[in-house]
Amino acid sequence: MTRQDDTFLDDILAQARSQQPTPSQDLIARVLADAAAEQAAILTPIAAPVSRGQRFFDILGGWTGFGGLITAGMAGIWIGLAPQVPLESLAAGEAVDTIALNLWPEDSLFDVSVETDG
Amino acid sequence: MAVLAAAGASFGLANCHGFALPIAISPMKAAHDTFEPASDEALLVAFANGDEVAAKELTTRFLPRVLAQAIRMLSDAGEAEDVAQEAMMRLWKIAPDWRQGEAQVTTWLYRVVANLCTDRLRKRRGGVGLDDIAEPPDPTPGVEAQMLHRSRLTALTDALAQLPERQAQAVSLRHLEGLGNPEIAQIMGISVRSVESLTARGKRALAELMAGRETELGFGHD
Repeated sequence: MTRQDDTFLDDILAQARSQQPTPSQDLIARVLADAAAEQAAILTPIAAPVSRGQRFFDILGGWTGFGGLITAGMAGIWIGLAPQVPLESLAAGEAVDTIALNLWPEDSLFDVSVETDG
Repeated sequence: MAVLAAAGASFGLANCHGFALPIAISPMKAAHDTFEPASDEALLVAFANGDEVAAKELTTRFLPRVLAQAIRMLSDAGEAEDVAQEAMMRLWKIAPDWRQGEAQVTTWLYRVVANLCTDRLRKRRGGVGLDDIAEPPDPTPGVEAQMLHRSRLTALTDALAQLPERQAQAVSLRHLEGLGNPEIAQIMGISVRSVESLTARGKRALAELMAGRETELGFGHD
């Protein structure tokens, strides 16, 4: 490297070093827009990952749906386990007159025979 | 904690003075008035806590120097703006995780810009340099001088692109940014002796690449 090469290079380096650009308004606006977007992202809470159990719970309708399901289940168990009580025993001790109730009329509706003279 | 407290104090001060964040009327000036005494790290904490004024102050402090470093290394205004925007974007992203007291923001930014610029210089290798494209003659006085100036800077950038990346970074930080060897060592994460070696070899290689172009670049005629 000769002294002339050195001077030549130093001269160009000095020219490059002397550049003092001023950021354009457009660039400042872009940088501030990036900053605002990044701030919004930083401040937005990240949703915690939902577990499989929680997802199933949500499918059932949350606490409301789950409460209804539990009630219906308990009712089913109670109906299933409770001993059968005959109907007579329900009426036992009650002073009830036995009433015969004929739900079918004496005269058949379909009896369409026509009485004829002679 | 002290830094956090300082940041909190600045943040509170900004709000209790009721800044309305003027958009059209010099927002940079308002930011400057508010955060002038705050450290760079305190500003980053305030930024991460959602303070818009801190973002403006950080932009005022760092964007000009980031852009200048990029344009000195690349000699291309458009590319330099892209690099500056990207470097600032990385600053915004790292703000919540910034480790207090480990590095200076300026040192970190020098490294980021140097890396982004050498990435772009690497892509230029093998391409046609701007000074290889024939410029149409322009009779306007002064234009020729401007073109010569641009040609010189582009020739320098093209030569820088031919250097190994570490050499290009060391040379640019030493001879374009004017930094001292200890600071360059900190930026590049190497010893001062390695910096001396890199800058010496880099500058020698640069001179060899530029050798013989004196006449073409009008050296000695201005």
